[in-house]
Amino acid sequence: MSTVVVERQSVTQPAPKASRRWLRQLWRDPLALISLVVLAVVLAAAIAPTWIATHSHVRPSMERLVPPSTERLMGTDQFGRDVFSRAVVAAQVSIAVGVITVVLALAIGVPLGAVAGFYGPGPIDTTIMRIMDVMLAFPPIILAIAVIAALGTESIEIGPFEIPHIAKLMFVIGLLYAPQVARVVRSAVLVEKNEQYVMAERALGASRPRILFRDVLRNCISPISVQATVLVANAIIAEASLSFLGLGIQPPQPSWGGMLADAKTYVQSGEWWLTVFPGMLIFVTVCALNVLGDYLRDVLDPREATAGAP
Amino acid sequence: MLGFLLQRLISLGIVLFGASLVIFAIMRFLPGDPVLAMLGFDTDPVVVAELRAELGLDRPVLVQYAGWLADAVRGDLGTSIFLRREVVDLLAARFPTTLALAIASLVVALAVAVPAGVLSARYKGKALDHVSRLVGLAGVSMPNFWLGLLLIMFFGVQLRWLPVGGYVPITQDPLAGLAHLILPAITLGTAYAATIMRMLRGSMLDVLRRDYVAVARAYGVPERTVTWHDAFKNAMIPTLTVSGFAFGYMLAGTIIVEVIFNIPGVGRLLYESILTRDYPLVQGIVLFNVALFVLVNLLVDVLYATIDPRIKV
Repeated sequence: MSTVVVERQSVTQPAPKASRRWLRQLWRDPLALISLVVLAVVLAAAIAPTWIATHSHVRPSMERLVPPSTERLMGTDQFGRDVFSRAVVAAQVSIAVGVITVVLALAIGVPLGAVAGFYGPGPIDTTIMRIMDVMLAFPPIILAIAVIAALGTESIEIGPFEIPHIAKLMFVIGLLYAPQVARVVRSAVLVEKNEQYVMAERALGASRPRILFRDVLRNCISPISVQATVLVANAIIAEASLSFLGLGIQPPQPSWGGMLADAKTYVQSGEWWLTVFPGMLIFVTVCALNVLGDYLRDVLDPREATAGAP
Repeated sequence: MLGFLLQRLISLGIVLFGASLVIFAIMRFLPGDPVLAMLGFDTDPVVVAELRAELGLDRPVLVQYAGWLADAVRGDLGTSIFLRREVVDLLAARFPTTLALAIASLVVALAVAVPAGVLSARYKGKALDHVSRLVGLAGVSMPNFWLGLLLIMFFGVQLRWLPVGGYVPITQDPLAGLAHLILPAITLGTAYAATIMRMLRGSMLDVLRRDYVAVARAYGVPERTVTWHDAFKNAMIPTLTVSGFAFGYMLAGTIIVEVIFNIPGVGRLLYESILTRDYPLVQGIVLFNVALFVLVNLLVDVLYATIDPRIKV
């Protein structure tokens, strides 16, 4: 009898905050837990590559195209450079591009989507979303390819500033994803703006920008964080694809996509480790991010079904 | 229906006009001089001026844009600087290859996605469901250039079952043509197979919860008939839409696959035009890709409205 009462009490307790809920449920989802561990390892490699790398990632040696061994964990490439150490350093580039790109996409997409949703329907909403439609009409990567084809892969000077190629890459990919962010934020704000608290605050005399940016957006964090996670995964693939085509990170700076571009020459001659390891790292990282995205969607945003476009 | 079509065509026009502005702006206003980039920075200024005049770059920007757009509408995308041929002719020569590749990829994607999606919904929560969801997750997370290289290594080099690259038109030699398409189609189709499978699984689960499915079961209709005849038919509609969009992505996204497998399609043409800094060609191919992508999306919308009588247009 008493146990029933205890159970009832726990049910009537206020629901834990979303921030704690996603941590608490993590223990019940082994796949999400593994993904988080994988991401922690990749992040550690990205933050302190020199601690993990076993050799220099740039210095050539006479040990060319050596297969993996305990000494050379992932073998060596055509210049005798250590593949493992290069892959670790490349993690830094991939993670940096992935994260900064998405921060940029959020910085552009969130305000645009929020304003379009909150002040629509009307000319503001229509104008913003038409521009986003034009951006979305470009097949993915094609727009990035066009911009990089025009800008070249060297660093460029704009006024007194020298813009390195990696910054151009981040900006281009970020711009590519901004419309997707804007669309998600807009639809979340459209739902949220009809809530009672918005009306209550209006009645109390709060200004519309204040309501939008202080309260409405705070309640849209769930769908935004779900999308941001998946976008980091997509951005990592986009950077790797561009680097694979020779338009992304330029040699001798290592990148996962660039390492695979070099490996292409050796696919037919049997040096399998050049292809298998860098690709495996992209795959594992992106997989972990996708699992985490699905998990966050299930926990934070139960309304959304688990079915995303690539 | 006619009104819907007209409305969609107008918005297609607006989007294409906007896209042409963006493409033109990218090529003209970004820092860097295309002519100098093409010829090299220490070229004789007279030669530079000649090429500039030939490309019309010495005219005012608005005149340049209006001229380019007017030509583009009439089907003239200019002349390739490097290949010295009309861009439209080059596209016409390369497009059938890309189309064949995209169709083959769609076939691969559907061949995997339809059984996997339906069975995983039917055996929800069972081992089969978990396996196909894990495979689906792997599919969306796998960069296609890596998959392509792995396939070449395994089926091309190790087992020697299939050619490692190149292209033979199917019309010329059906068997060799097919053999050359298999690995590229798997490479391009895998990610979309995973997407379509997830979509199909979701809509199957949705339909299987409906009352009429429960009624069919109560009447003793065999589970196989319920799954394939009653549920699948209705779950097919959203899946068809996703497959249509996937086809658009495939048509526009062949560049990496064509580079890996050395297939002479539109994607490889774009890749080569970037390497040779052939600006009119880059500009033309990008515009062509956008137009194609938008057109396929429009066709999918129309198809969707035609198939499902519940959709009011």
